[in-house]
Amino acid sequence: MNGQTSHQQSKDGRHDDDAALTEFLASLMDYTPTIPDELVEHYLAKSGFQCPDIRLTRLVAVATQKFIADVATDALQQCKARQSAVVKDKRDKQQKDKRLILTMDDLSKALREYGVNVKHQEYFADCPSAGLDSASREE
Amino acid sequence: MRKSLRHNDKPIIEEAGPLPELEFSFTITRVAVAQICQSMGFKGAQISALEALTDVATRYLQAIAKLAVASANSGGRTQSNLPDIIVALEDLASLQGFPGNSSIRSRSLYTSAVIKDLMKFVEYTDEIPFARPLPPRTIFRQGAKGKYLKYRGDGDNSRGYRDGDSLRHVPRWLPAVPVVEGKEKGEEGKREVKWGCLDGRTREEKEDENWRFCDERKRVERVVSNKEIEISGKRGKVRFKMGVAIHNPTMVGNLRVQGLEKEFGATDYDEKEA
Repeated sequence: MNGQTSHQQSKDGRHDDDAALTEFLASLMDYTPTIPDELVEHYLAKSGFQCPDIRLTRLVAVATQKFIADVATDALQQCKARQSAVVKDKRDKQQKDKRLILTMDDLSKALREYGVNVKHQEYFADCPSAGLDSASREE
Repeated sequence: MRKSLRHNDKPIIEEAGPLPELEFSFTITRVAVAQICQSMGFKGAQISALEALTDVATRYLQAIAKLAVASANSGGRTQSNLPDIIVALEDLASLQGFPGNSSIRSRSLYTSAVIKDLMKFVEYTDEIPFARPLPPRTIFRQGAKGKYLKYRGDGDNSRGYRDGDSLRHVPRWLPAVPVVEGKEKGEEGKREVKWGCLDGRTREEKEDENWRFCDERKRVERVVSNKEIEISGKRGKVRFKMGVAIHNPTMVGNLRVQGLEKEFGATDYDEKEA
């Protein structure tokens, strides 16, 4: 008896979930993800993903956007934590608040939570001009 | 609000390095990722950090695709559908963890917390449209008709299916299916060629012979069955000139040399046929 009622409940629940999901997919067509559809299709096709349904491409684009947003949020928190740790004059802190910059350090710390290990060379010792511009890292 | 200069400039394609197409898609992704970071509150970014994040984004996209494809293939399908994508997203999110991941009983994919998080994200986050219109596709596909990226909000499923005149799943190097009319035309042309040199030939004579000779042409055409060729209308008498060695195919060219009347030629031929 209990099993039957729970089964029925789960059936109803599934129906609601299905309806919510179809509604969500329909609403996706109104929401424009930041990553263009063509670009998403290009990467999906590169990996063998075949689907004529454009709502699913939108879903993947939104999922990627959410992922990047989460990583960016974590990096932002790292940046702010770093700034709050370094407290000098009030003027300096305000200046730093205006310039929240995504740095390699914050990013690597944020990405570590997601299982991505991004290690960055501290310095290059090849030539005299090495180490002056850390952004010019060769791969 | 200041951004790193590269985002506002046009994409610079370097001469040496990875494929221009790879560079192109990477540059576009970088713009999108930069926009997302900006919406989160970042005012600027280091170039290397931005490129690393873009690389992660492209790998994430490809990882979703690979997992969805693997899930579809293990179900005996070639095309992925919604549960495949949810499985892929759950796999990728299992690293961070999400509520419901540890449930022992099999749970419905549609009630997955991953999808619910996505729904909340779509609900509460403002849209960030892409900064620039994408150029037409002709840049990297030669010979294809390009079109600007048009945003269609109507959920047109056929957009992923058709690409102009051709269907997307059909490779471009495959020739088009030949039209049946062309075949008939060819046959008719053939028939015309056969009959062009046989003016005025009567029907009964035609039925007797299997071989057709033509003054103008040096080939001999053979008709397998008389049913294929039908003459319309009555034709007049035919005059053809035959040489001495008529059954030798190499001597067909001598047909013009001697002048023999039709009756004589016909009997001659009949003799030889018999």
